[in-house]
Amino acid sequence: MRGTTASQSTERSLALIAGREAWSDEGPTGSAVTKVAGVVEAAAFLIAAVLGWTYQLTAGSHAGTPVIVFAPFAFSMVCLLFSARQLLLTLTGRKLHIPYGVRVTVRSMLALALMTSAFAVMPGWASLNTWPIGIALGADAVLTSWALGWHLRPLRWWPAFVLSPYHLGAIGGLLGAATFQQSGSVWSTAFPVLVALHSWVIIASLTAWGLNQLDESEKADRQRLYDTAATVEHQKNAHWMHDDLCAQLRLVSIQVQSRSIEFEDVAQLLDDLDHQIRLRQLDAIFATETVRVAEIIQPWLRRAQNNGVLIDRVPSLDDVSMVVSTEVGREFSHAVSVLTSNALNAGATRLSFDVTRTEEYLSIIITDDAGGLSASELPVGRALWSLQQDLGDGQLVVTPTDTGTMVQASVARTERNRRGAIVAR
Amino acid sequence: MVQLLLVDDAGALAELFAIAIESKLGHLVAVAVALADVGDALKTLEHLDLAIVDLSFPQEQGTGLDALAEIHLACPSAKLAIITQGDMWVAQVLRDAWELLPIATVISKSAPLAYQLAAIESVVTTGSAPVDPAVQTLLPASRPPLRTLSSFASLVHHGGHAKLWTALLSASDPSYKEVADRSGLKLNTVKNYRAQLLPDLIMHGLNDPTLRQMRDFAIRCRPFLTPYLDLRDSK
Repeated sequence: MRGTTASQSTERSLALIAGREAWSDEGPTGSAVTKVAGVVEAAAFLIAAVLGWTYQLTAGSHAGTPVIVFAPFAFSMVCLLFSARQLLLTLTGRKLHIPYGVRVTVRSMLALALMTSAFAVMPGWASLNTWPIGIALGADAVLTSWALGWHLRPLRWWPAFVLSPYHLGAIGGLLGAATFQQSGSVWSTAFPVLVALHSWVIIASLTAWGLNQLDESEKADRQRLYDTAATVEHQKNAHWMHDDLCAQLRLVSIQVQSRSIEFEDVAQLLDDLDHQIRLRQLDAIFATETVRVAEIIQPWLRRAQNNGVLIDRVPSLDDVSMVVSTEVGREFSHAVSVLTSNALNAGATRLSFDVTRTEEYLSIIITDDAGGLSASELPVGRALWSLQQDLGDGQLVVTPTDTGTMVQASVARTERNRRGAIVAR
Repeated sequence: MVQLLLVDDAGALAELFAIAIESKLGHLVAVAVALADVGDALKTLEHLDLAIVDLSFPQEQGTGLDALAEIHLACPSAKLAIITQGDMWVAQVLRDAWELLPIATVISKSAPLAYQLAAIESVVTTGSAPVDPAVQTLLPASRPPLRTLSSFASLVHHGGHAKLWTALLSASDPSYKEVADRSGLKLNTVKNYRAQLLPDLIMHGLNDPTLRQMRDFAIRCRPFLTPYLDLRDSK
C-alpha cells in the first residue's frame, strides 16, 4: 500500500475544505442517499443554531466584550449560511461557479468563524451542546468524498486526530497552561473545548460511516433491481425471439421449401419481418423514456424505402433530435404509422417527411403523389378517421396538392392540450 | 479498375455484398472483417478509390471511426462512405465521422440492394451521393465549419492536458480522484485543466461536460485526439 505524503495530505484536506460543490460536475439529479446526506447536513447546522440560542436564552446573561455579545449572531449566521446553501444545493442542484482558491478561502474563514463563535456562545462544558456540528462535518466530508470519487475510511479519523500534530500541540499547550497558569480556569474553559473537538471528530466519523453504509446499501439495492430488470428483459427477449422471430422465419422457410410462394415474395416477407423487428426495437426504446423523434420516424422511412418509394425529403437531426415522453412518442408513432401506411396503400411512389414543433404540438407532415383526398372524405371507422378522432379538433389537416395530398397530424405535447384532445374525441 | 475496400464485421454479409458489387458494378472489392485487418488490407492494395466502412464493431475496442481515420490518413485521395444500420447506438459516432471526415455518402444497411449499389456507383462516378433518407435524420443539416481535425489541437494546449486526456482514456469510472491518481496531477490541477478545456469542447457538442462525458468523447474520437497527445508527450 502506498503511503501518503504531507503534500498529498494537504491536497486532500484542501479538497475536503472546498466542499462537494467544487467537485460535482453532474447535473442537479443526485442519488437518494446524496439528498439524505445533504438534508442531514442542513438540519444539523440548523439544530446547532437553535441549541446555541437556547443556551444563550436559558443560561442567563454573560457580560463580556462586544465580541462575546456578537458571537451568537455570528454563530447563527454561519450555521444558517451553511444550512441554506446545502439545502439549495440538494433541492435544486444549482451550483455557484466560484474559483477553487476563493472557495477554499471563504469556506476556511467560515469554518474558523463557526468554531470560534460556537465556543464563545457555549463556553466551558456547554460546548458539548455543539455536537450537531460533528454531524454536519461528517455529512459534508462524505458528500465531498463522493463527488471526488474518494473512498473515505471514517473509522480511522479519531485515531488520526489523536495522533495529529495539531492535537498533540493542543495537549501540550493545555498542560503548559495548567502548569504555569491557574489550573482551575484551564480545566473549566480549555479542556471542555478539547473534549468538544473530540466529540466532533467521533460524531463526524460515525455520521460518515453511517452515510457510507447507507450509500453502499442503496447501491446494492439498485444493482439487485438492475439485475432483476435485466433478467426479466432477457426472458422477454428470449420469449419474443422464440415466439415471433423464429416462428416467422420458420413460416418463410416452410413456404419456400413447399414452393407455395414465389421467390420474389420471400424478399417481401423478409422485409416485413425486418419492419416488425424495428417496431419492436422502437417499443423497447419507448420503455427507456428517452425516445427521440428521429427514432420514431426511422422505421417508417425504411418501410417506405423498402416498398420502392422514393423519399424526396426528410427532416435533419436539428428538427428531430428532441426527446419526447413515452406517451407523446407513442401517439406520434401512431400518427406516422397511419399517415405512411395510408400513403403507401394509396399507391404513392414519392413521399416527403417533415416535422415541425411548437410549445403545444409536435407535427408530422407527409406529402405524397397518390392523388387527392380531403378531410371530409375520410371513411368513417378507417385508420385515418380514427386518428382524426384521437388527435382532436383541427389536429389532422388534409391539403390536396397538384399531384397528391399533404397530411399534417399534430400531437399534443402538454397535459392541458392532451386533455383537450381527449375531450374532443 | 476501380478498387473498393469494404470494412464490416458481419463477415458473411460483407462477402455477399462484395460479390454483388463486383458482379453488378464490375469493381474490385477487398474485404476487412476486423479493425485490425484494415492496415494489412491497405498494404495489399495498389490504390484505393472508395472505402465503405461499417461503424459498429461490438466485439472490438474501437469503432468504424478508427478505420475511417486510418484509411483517410493512409489514402487521403480515397473516397469514404459509411454503411450502417443507422440506429441511435451509432448516432454519435456517425455524427463525429460526418463532421470530421470528408464522407461522400452514408448508406443504410436496410436499404434495398439496388439503392445501395446506385449510391456506391454515384460516389465512384461523381464523388458523392445523397445520404440515405433513413439515416439522414441522424445528421445535422450542415457541418459545423469550426469542427475540423485540426480543431483537436486546441484540446491539448500543453503536456498537462495530454496527461488529463491520457488518464481519461484509461479510466474505467472517471472521477477527480481516479484521474488525479492515473495522471499524477493534483486534484485541483485536474479541475483547472478541465475548466480550461471547456470553451474548446463546445465546438465538439460538449457543453460543460462531466469527466465521464469527456472520457466517452475521448474514446470515441481517440484517432483524432491521440496524435496531439503523442506530440505533447514527445516534447
